[in-house]
Amino acid sequence: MREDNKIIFTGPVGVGKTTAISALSDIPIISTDAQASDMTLNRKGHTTVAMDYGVLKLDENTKIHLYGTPGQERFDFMWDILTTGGLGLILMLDNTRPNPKKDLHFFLHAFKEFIVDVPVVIGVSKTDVQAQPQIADYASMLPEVTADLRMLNPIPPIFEVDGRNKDDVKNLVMALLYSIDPGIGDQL
Amino acid sequence: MTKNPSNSDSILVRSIGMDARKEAVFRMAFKMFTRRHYQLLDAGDTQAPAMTIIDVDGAEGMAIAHRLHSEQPEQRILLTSVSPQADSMFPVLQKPVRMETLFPALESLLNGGPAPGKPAGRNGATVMPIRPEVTIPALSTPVVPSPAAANPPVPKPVAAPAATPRPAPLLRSEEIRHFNPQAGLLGLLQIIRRDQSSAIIVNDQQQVILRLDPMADQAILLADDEHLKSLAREEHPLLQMRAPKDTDVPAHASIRHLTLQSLLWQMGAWTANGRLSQQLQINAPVQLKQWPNLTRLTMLPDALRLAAFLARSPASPALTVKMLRVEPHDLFNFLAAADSLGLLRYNTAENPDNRIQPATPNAPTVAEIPAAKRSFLGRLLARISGL
Repeated sequence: MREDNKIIFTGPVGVGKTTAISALSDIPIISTDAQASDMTLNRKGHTTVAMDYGVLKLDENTKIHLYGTPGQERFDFMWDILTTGGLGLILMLDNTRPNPKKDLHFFLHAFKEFIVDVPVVIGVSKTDVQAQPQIADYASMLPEVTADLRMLNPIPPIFEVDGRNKDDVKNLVMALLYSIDPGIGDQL
Repeated sequence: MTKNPSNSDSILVRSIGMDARKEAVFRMAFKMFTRRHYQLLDAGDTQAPAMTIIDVDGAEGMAIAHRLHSEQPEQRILLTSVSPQADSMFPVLQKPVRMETLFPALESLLNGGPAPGKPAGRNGATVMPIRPEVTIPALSTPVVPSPAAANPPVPKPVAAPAATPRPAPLLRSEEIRHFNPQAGLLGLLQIIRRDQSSAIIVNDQQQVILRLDPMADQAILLADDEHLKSLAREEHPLLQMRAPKDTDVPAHASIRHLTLQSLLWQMGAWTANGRLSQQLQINAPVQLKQWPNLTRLTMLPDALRLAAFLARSPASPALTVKMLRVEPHDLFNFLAAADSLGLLRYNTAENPDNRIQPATPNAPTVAEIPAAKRSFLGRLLARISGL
């Protein structure tokens, strides 16, 4: 496995990480769902307790490994292992959760070592169900939330997304790639 | 005497045959390169440079390089040209110069090769002629077919096709047209957004064109896109703004709903129509305060790249065109759209709160992207865009 070809999807339980990875993966994703047995049960019947894994193939020998982290905090010991050598972080936030700002803070700090070297993009889901906070509100929260962080891209993309919408997921990933290098698209 | 610098020294570079715009590009490139500290000498600076970059496409051409070499045989010389000569005695960079070829060329010069006097291209270790190695297909023409949903076959390899660099767009300041974003329909919309009070916009026959509720970020459109586009491009359309009434929108009227942000973004681009806002200067920096919510706005050409570039650090429109090789009219439309949503920072006397922010002291530096990784990222980008 080539360590440098990973994209990491993270975010709270039920935000749509598994669905987003499915939209990109060339293979049926390998998902370790299980019956939820804790507070997660309130949000979904099944949830990812280890990780999701999908693959995007560039050719027979070059693959992009798509990893979805488990949403629950008790699995955060796995996140360092998953992120080693990753290209970037896609953080998905659920606008219907009680405190999205707290989620934003938690996940950015959980991956604070990772996002020093790689960009992060933020997708906010379920804005059709719960309109507030708006994208501008998340942007306003960032300086305070990230005051003690060193981020490669301190002004990250923040997009409304629906994990079921392939174009939304594509735009998240493309924004991630351009955040690594805005010059990669300057060729015909 | 030419100095051999260590990694921590400033490496002084002199430019010859370049105008201020070209020098600004090199300064920006040097600033973005963190492995070594290159510094372009100002005109009149008498310090001895470690190397000299000469643009030989000017009037004197190669004569300058030969004269410098005869006067200072130890001086390291790198040429830039749109049409490098294969038998040049100096290493030469193909224009437009790109970071992934510039810095290997400078490194090669610092490490001693190729020596002036030998045809540089005949030695396998030389840097001449230097052309971009990276190429990706156009986003609009993805090379990979969409995979079948269930269990797709292995995709056709996304190969890097033969290099076809996007031509460097021409940006002549005398040809830049400007527009006033505070006039016309866009100006009215900006007032409504600023005041956060509901309003309708009617034409000279009192027909309702738009009903706007900025608090709810909602717009009701009673005109089609072509009509709105034509209104956007009139500097003094016969439009009025007034408080809404319940009877403004007839029950059976053909209406469309949009967010006010989407409307402003689109109207900004339509109003610009390839022109630069009067609020901006071609050589003054602009910066994005935040990315536009591009999944819910009309995707303008090169919007993702432009957002990534302008969110990273301030850059003037001229430098942005040069660095990203975007068409100026696409950049100007993007800037107008972003400014219509209040997403741009730029320095003006009228609005000191909107000044460019200094770089965060603890922000990580952006490392140069190696050519191999750029190529890989380009292939991945092509693959994603083709899904």
